Amino acid sequence: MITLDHLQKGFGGRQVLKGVDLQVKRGETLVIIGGSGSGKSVLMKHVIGLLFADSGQVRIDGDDLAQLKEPELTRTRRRFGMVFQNAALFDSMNVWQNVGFALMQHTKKRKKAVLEIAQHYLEMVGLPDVLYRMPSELSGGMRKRVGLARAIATSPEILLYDEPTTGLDPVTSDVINRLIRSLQEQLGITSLMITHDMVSAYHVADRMAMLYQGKIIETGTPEQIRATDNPYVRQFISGSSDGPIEAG
Amino acid sequence: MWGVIVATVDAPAQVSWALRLPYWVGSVVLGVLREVGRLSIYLYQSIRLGVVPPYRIRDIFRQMEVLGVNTMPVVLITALFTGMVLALQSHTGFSRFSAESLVGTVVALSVVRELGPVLTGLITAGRAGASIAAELGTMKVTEQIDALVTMGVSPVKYLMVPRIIAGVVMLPILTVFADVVGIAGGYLVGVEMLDANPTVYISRTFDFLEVADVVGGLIKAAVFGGLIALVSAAQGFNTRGGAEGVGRATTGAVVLSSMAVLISNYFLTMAMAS
Ligand SMILES: Nc1ncnc2c1ncn2[C@@H]1O[C@H](COP(=O)(O)OP(=O)(O)OP(=O)(O)O)[C@@H](O)[C@H]1O
Ligand SMILES: [Mg+2]
Repeated sequence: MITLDHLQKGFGGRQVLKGVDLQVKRGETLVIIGGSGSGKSVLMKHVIGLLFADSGQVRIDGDDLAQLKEPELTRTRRRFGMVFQNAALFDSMNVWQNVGFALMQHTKKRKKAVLEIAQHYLEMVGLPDVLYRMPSELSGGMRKRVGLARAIATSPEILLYDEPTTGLDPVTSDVINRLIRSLQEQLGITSLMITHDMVSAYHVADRMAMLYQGKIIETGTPEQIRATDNPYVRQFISGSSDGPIEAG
Repeated sequence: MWGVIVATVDAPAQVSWALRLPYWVGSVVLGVLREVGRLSIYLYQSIRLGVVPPYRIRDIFRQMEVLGVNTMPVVLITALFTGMVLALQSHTGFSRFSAESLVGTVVALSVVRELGPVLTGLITAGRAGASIAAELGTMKVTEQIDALVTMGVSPVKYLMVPRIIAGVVMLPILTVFADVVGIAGGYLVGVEMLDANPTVYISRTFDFLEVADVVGGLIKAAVFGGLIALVSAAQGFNTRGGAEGVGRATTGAVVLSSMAVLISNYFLTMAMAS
């Protein structure tokens, strides 16, 4: 469903992605792991057309994103929901307006209906009574979860999660992991998730892929990843500073 | 302002100044062209997206309110003192050839044709331009603009167009206030301080003032309003690199939109004169 074909991207002469090949199949959850600054967020932004590659392709159901005209690109983007690493809540709007924003923009639903939908999704992420708070009045973890509620409120086909559980306590993390899992199992949503949190990765992943120095160096099921003999992957998942990975 | 433009081009290190000068000139030219090109694209998109529904009337009114509240007090004070100083200066000048009776005329014409719209434009560039760039720049660096895009909402349509329309509508309104207060300031000095005859002063004020003067000034103001919003929003959208980047975008917006006001003022005046 999502195919990345030899994706390359640099910023001002510094190559961040050096030929990424990756496929996400319909209905699966693919988790990308990789060090800080390895280009995971950059990679994800290519998938939804926020960034465009220097070379290589991103294909969604066969269509090359870079070739789409603006209206088609917009239509394609609306099939996605994205959870940003830093939530990216609209800080001029309160929580329910954030969660209901896309519905208010694209549907004829009345305010009351949108409010109810927002409340429903906020309950799903464990925030039943923050409807009227402003983003600045929320903790980091709460913002993250409002961002998640906003992403799923439009019932997208594909979800992109950029570190959805970072900064959450273990119990709340588990709530979110179960939610992500159930979205995939019950609604068949296709997901691409970035995380540093190995507990979360093993919990939700159908397959995992590791990004290192601009390339995908390993893909496999969680069991295969756990049993890998690739020294980089082994070091990363064991969280050790001894090994071939250069820190930073 | 050169800083704003040149900052996008890296200077070659370790080159003699004789070589760096043409490089610098070239960079400035390229920078200006790039900026003009970028603005043309935004302008084109704004018009194309602005004419199709939804029209977001509420957003437009909100922006008009923000712009008015931000700018009105400063505009009024500036206009008042400008009208006053104009009366004082022209009185000094005209008394040398006993033409004091023309003070009212000069104040009215200068304020309505030139100072009203231009001062209003410059004040708006400073206040509203800065706040537009800071707001949109913050949205950019905190990925709120990206979030809009992922939800299929065009930032140009949603954020830029309402601000441009608000600018085009509000600047003439602010200018009308500036004109009235400026002329009143002139009257205050002319009649109360310099003892001109009130009836004569008033008739001299309006005898030579034509509708075209007023309309021309208001057209200028409308153009300034649109330009300021366009330039400042574009600066916001192109912000990079955290809080520091927002600071840069804000100063850039003030400098560039002030320049846009002054430069377009000349050409508009020239076009209207012919
Ligand atoms: N818009 C941009 N302009 C210039 N450089 C960028 C831009 N976006 C990202 N980078 C650079 O690309 C590299 C990868 O960034 P990215 O945000 O993808 O890392 P990441 O893998 O998501 O890291 P983290 O786990 O810390 O979130 C970084 O070195 C970053 O400085
Ligand atoms: Mg990241």
